[in-house]
Amino acid sequence: MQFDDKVPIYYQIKNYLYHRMVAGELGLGEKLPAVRQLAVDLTVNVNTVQRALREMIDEGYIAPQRGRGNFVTQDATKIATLKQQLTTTYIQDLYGQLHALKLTDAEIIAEIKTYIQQRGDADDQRN
Amino acid sequence: MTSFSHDFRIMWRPKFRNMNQLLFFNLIAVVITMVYQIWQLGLANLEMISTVVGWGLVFGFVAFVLLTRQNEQMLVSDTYRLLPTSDTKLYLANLATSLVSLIYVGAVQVVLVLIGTAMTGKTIRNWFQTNVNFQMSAADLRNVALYGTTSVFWAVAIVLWIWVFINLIHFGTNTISAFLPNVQQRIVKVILAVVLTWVAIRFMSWLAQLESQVYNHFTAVSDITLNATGIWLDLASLFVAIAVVAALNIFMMKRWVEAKY
Amino acid sequence: MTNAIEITQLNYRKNTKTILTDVNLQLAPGKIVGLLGENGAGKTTLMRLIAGVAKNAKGTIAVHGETREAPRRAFVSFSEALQGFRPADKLSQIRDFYALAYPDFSAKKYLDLITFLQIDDDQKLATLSKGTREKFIIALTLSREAAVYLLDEPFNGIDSMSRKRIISSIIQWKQDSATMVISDHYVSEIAALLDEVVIIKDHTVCAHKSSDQIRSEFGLGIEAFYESIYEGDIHDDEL
Repeated sequence: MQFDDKVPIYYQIKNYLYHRMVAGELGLGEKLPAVRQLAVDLTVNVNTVQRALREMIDEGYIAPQRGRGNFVTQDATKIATLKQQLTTTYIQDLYGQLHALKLTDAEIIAEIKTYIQQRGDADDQRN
Repeated sequence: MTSFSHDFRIMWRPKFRNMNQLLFFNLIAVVITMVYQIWQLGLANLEMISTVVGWGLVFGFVAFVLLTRQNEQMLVSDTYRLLPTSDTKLYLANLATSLVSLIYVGAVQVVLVLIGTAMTGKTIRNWFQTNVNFQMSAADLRNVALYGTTSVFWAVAIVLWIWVFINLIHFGTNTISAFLPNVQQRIVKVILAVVLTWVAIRFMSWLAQLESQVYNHFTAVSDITLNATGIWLDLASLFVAIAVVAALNIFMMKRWVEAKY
Repeated sequence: MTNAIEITQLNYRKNTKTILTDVNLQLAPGKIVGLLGENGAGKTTLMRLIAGVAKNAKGTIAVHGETREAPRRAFVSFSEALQGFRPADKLSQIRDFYALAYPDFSAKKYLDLITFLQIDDDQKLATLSKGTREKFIIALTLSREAAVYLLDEPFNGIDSMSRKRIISSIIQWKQDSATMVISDHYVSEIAALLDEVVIIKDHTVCAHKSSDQIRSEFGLGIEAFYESIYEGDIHDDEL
């Protein structure tokens, strides 16, 4: 994984784990790799991984079990809320940028629809 | 922190390995010479003593030179200076291992001479019978023992003195370079070199004088006991000098002398 | 809690030239710290002073509270250049030396490390490439279970594959409580590894910050932060 050196690494690790949880790559109640293993996989400091996990435990996304390691929460609504939050964040971002280009709300929706359609056609052709 | 005996073991290993390598070549040289002699003179006339002693002197000297070099290098290499031990222990362990290594080489030479003697027993026995009178009195034996131990002590003292003296030159120039800018360094180093050469020459002439004294002891049997005390006194003063120079070296090592990197 | 390294008012001169002046530095246990600065800024000297092989400095250096040189050396594992060995020595002989010399040397850790770093220790020292030699030095240095590791420019002149392996081995084998100082003048590849950054400029420590602090306070990457300090874009009063 590539990190942006301008953003705190623990923050990027949290984001990475949020995404994997929402995308289902880390399922409900699934065991996370050991801290050191995660650090090796991501080529980051063990302390940084620990900080990211600690914050996610405080936020309730990760449930530590004594002597067994860390597990993704069993709470499906928690992940659903997270998914909603992430979606809102991205849409806010996208909307903000397009709005700055002086597109109207109708135009923005139309552009998105066109994009999805073209993408779908391109995928069909490839298949 | 490690103990002196631990330091000794650490520093002994590489020297021991080096010496064994050297002795291996020594043995090869002896064997080759022996084969050559057998081929030239025949087995009956094989004479091993001079071969063994000759090569022994050559390799003994090489061993001394190699140890002198190693003795210097170990004290200024990170590998040894990083050891969790005090500079005093490191310095003394270095000196001790160098000395023991040299003694080891000497002991192997003695063994080789004994083997050589056994192989050419006839020549030696003849030589002893014609040249040495075995009817020695107790006093004579005591004198032989005295000379034996004295000369061993002397050899040890001289070797140690050479090593600590070289250390002194090395550390002295090293210390000076830590304080002076490069230009002044050169001048001071030249002066130091002159002074130290003078000291070395004085030491050599003193040694030569001493040697003639010792020689007189051996020849003029009558006043053995009289002069023997003088020799022991000289020996003692040399050991004191070694101790003083070694202490000075350790002091410089603790304060100024760094490893090269 | 005792600091892993505590340096107070350290001054060092050599050949009448000032190398370090008024260095003050505290490093907590468990941190990985980048020691950054130009070539000749005094990074190596500072490490050698901590390791107790540079002499005649004024001021105090304590490693886990120990200021005396010899016991301090027992706490510190320094990546030395193996100059005390002969070119004909086998790597396994060098391992034997380390095992004998350092009570905290772990044979298991050594074996894991050379396996991971793909080093065959039946080779002779003289036959190693620069990269393999550097990897071997790292393997030896990390094989000790020391309180403080000092890695002096471990990535100097080696290929990126070796560099990645060295970085991974650091993550994998540094004990949590141990402090590690890595000096470099090229930061980007180890930036994600560093808890803290110490920058040496004008013979002294001019900045000591946590990596996250740099990223969140200055909005800069470590490399960019380091460069702007050297180019004078960030002034001392801003630090």
